Amino acid sequence: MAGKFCVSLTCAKDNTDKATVAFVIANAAVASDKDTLVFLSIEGVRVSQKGYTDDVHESGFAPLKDLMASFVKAGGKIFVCSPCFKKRTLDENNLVEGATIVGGAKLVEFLSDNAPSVSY
Amino acid sequence: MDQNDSNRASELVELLTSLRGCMCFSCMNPICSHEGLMSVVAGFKDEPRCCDCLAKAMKTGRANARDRMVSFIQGRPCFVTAWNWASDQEGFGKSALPRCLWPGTETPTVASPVEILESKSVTQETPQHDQFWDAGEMGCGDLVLELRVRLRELKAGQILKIAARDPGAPEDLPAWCRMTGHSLVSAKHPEYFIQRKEN
Repeated sequence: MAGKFCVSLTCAKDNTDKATVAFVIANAAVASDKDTLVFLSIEGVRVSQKGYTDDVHESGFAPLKDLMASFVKAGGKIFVCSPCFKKRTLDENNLVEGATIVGGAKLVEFLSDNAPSVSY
Repeated sequence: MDQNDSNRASELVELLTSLRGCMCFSCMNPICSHEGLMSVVAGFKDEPRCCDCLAKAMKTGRANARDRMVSFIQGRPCFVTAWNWASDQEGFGKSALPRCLWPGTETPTVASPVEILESKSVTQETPQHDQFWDAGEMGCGDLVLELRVRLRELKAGQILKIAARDPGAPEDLPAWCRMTGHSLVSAKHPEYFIQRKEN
């Protein structure tokens, strides 16, 4: 893959538009052969839970669940902020495929190679 | 080798089989099975790299990185089994250091994993440590910041044992060690052994 690309998502059902567009952009990056990471933090960690996004379908976009599945199937990675996850007492045994709970060091390592990042 | 080691060895061989013909994630040159195994050791299972690129990621020279990873493999029967499998696949004797990693006339500074294992009857030992820190549920930036302080209090080469139960620790601590140059001697969540680097 030629280069890295990070999409930072801080929203879930508090802003389904942002959550959806984040994965649309992530899919564009992974489809462009970028080593792509979606970093979920703040409220965004909620989309890491299986079933949570089942009813999220923004007009004019594919359902969020399908966007996330396509992203992972194409080789994209999802990092889930550990303290944000713990604060919301979510279930680490109920993560969607491709999601990994990480702390800041893992994100810093990914971004250390001058990876561009876009935030939603 | 107990059942856990045997199961782990099978998983490693299965992984190496899947990596056959794989290219280095970084430079896109072909990697051998030994390099695939070393990628697992260095925490790059999903993004395997050649020895040169692993060394770059570890911020050290090729020989140093290679020997550190071989030292890690030496004490672990499951990894030695996978190493043997790689040597068989590439036509090297079990007790030989494979030429893919020790090319030309370089004089080896480490023994082959098999020699060490057979000569010392090494089992899966818990590494020795100089200090212990129970980090509890601490995670993310708090964990590595405090870890940095505690490692600074050690002398170069000394080992800190950490109990870190944060669910992000299995990913974070290897990444932090790769970035900072400290050696992750052992990682079995929630226990980690980190050796302080030279100044």
